[in-house]
Amino acid sequence: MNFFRKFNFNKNISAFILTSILSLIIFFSNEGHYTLKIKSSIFNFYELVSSPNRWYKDLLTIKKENELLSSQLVQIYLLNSKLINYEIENKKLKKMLKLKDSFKHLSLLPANVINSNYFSSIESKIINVGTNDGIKKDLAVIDIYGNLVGKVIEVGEFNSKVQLITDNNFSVSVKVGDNISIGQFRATYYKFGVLDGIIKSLDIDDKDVVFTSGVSDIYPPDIPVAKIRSQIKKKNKLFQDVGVELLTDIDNLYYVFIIQ
Amino acid sequence: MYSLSSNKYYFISIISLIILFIQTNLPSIILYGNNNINLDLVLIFLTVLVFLKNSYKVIILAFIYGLVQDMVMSVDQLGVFSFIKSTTAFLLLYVRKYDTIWDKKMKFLYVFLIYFLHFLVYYSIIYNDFYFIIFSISFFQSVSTFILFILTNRFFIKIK
Repeated sequence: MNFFRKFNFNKNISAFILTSILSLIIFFSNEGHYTLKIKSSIFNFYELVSSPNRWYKDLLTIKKENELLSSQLVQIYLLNSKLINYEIENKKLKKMLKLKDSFKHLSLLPANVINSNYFSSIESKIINVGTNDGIKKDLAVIDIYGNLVGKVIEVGEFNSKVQLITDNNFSVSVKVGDNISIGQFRATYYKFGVLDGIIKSLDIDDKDVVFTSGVSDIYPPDIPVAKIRSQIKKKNKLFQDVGVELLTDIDNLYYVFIIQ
Repeated sequence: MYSLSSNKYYFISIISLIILFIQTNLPSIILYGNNNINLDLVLIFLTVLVFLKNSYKVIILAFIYGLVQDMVMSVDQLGVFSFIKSTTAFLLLYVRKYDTIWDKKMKFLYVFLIYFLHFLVYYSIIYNDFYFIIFSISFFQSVSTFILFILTNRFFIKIK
């Protein structure tokens, strides 16, 4: 009786302690079976709740996107004829050097981003494809321009979660420069990041594009990641400090492709 | 008595779902550059509940809201948003302990400070670096949420 009286007296503190303990349990059971199941159900619920948001965003962006895509299509047609000639030349050179083709077995699955403004984060996005569409964990995700967006980290039945390239726990092996120096991309803030492990002797041009190296099993080679923003060579350091800016526009991601 | 109380729960559950629905579909305000702020209806709803109900159940509701946010947004720090939301509700409930001691201005100042603290922690998790940006976004976010709370107070709760 005394216990219940005390409990009634400290209801707020008891509720706070209880929710804090629950938060801790959730924090430490991140990869647990039940947590993943709950996550999957919440993804589905969230997709339903945020459907009007997607509807009005589609309406607002569709005209603008259509104009942009039309102009890009013309450019691509012109570029394509150029590239056909390059391809023939490239094949001949590769044959001579005995190099393997990149992008040989890539198949792309389109997906819609369903995050809303309130639930948007620079860490992750939810997409509307899941195990039913053949999605697995650790698949690379690119935007409509082919730039790296992130990787799939959680898969539900109909929806999945993508860890964005802007998350500070995200890291990807990249190559840069004419001599193809391998480094590690790490996000710092918003759309900016740094390259670790780029040797000082390597000369990089400003606006040089950084591509995935293909060293990891997750990301295929030659996917554009970022462009060079700054480089500082210090005497007391073995590697140079290279600042980069991401090519993908995280704020305006509506459609993405999953590389299968 | 039971049916009345269970009806009340249903009512609050439905309102909570409606708030979540509106919040999810509400467009954000562009502050500067690409930094956006949102009108945090969830936080306002929790504050209103604190002033109307003064019950530990607000902490549980805040926890559930935070949990949904956790599941949708977090990558590695699952449970952090639910902790922040329930802590905010817990701290907001303190205002009722001083109901007769604090005047209206003091209560408002306390609510604003709690909002600011909430957003400061929230944006520290969301953004990686740059304390100035975190600080300024948190400030503007708490100001916008506080203004909305003042309006809600004028029309619905009328704090004395």
